[in-house]
Amino acid sequence: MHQRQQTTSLLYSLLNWLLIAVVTVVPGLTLADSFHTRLHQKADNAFYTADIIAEMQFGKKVAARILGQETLHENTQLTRYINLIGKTLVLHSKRNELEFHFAVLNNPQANAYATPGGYIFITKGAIEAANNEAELAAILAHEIAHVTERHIVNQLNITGTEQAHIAGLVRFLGASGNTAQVTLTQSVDQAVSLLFETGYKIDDELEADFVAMILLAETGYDPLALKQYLLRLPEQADPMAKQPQTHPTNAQRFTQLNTLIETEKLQTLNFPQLRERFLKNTTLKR
Amino acid sequence: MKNDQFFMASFPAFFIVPFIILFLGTMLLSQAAMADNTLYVQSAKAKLLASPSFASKLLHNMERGVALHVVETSERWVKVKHNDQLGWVSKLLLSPSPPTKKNSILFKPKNDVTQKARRRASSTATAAATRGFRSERHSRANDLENGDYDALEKVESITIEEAEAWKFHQEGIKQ
Repeated sequence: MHQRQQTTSLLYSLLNWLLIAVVTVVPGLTLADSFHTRLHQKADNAFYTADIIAEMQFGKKVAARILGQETLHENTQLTRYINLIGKTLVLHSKRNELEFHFAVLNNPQANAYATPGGYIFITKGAIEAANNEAELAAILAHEIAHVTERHIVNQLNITGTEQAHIAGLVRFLGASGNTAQVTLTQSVDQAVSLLFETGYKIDDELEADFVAMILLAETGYDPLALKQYLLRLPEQADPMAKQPQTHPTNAQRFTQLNTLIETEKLQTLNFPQLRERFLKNTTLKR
Repeated sequence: MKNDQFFMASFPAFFIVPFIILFLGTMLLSQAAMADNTLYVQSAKAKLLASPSFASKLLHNMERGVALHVVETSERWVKVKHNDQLGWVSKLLLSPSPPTKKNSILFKPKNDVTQKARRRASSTATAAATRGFRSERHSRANDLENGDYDALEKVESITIEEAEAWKFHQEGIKQ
């Protein structure tokens, strides 16, 4: 009897250790496996290439649409200067795989637009409202941030794969069917409407400000230039202010900018604003 | 009886011990994951700074694609090890995957049907509007929908070489 109890106890002990092994090793293996799977997926550039191609092709159509509504300001020196500032900022941003293009629009109202894929438009009015190169860089940095953070791409679910709620954009672009073309046209319509009428989401605007400040500091421009420019620009001149329900007011933007300036001690940087080079290259100021 | 008492006394351990081991196992696994925690520089250049502040000393300018071992992360900064040198990099410039290379295929996609779509868009969209696919707001945008591809070509024709941009950067910012 005594021996039987010992055997039972030993059996329980063995079962216990078997349970421990199952409880610890199996989840461990599963975790490790999923971890490596995620890494593998992230390293798969081919997966991303389809998305980037879709974004670029989509952005090109949106850019053409903007140019259908606005006229180009064809001043070679100014356009080249804007491109030099823009390219310098892009070199310090995280999306070097895109070929960014910068253009000046012949519009006296202060405004700027960015399309997916890296087409950035700035109006003559926005340049005239700037005081130095750092402020001009701040406007461009804000627009570049909308592209690097893929705000329109995420909002409209533009992708080259089949994961979109609508079918992959590459399929639209390659497709000849009317339905596909209508869907593509509708997506471009939505992007144009977002840029000209409804505006970005409040969080996207605030994120673009945040990324722009960091981008200015990383490039070496005075990051406070963004706040200076916004302070000078009357809020009513900002088309986003027309939708106070869904878009940040200047007060909200300043609150965030001030927090960032304080926490990162950006006021101590003493980075250049480059007024002279700005005046030399922007004949608009004369 | 004695064995029964031993079994009963050690019974809670049957439940507690697996959880302790599971906890330790999870700790080890997360440490293993940390050991593999590599981030890649996405920007053409990224500053390796002595402390998490743009005002701090510049230790090194790191090139795009450089793999960095993560030591510590904060809200906006990552402490990394680069060539046995510890320093801080802005979180915005790093990603867990290597940067996507600039590829000529990206810029001349074979299935670019932009021009084809441009010719078709008007009739297609009009047909869709008739069928009620498009909202009034979209119809309004559609009035202006024929993009200006000639102007777009002008925009795309202006390209700045990387070396030129660095020269411009050096002349102005001189860092």
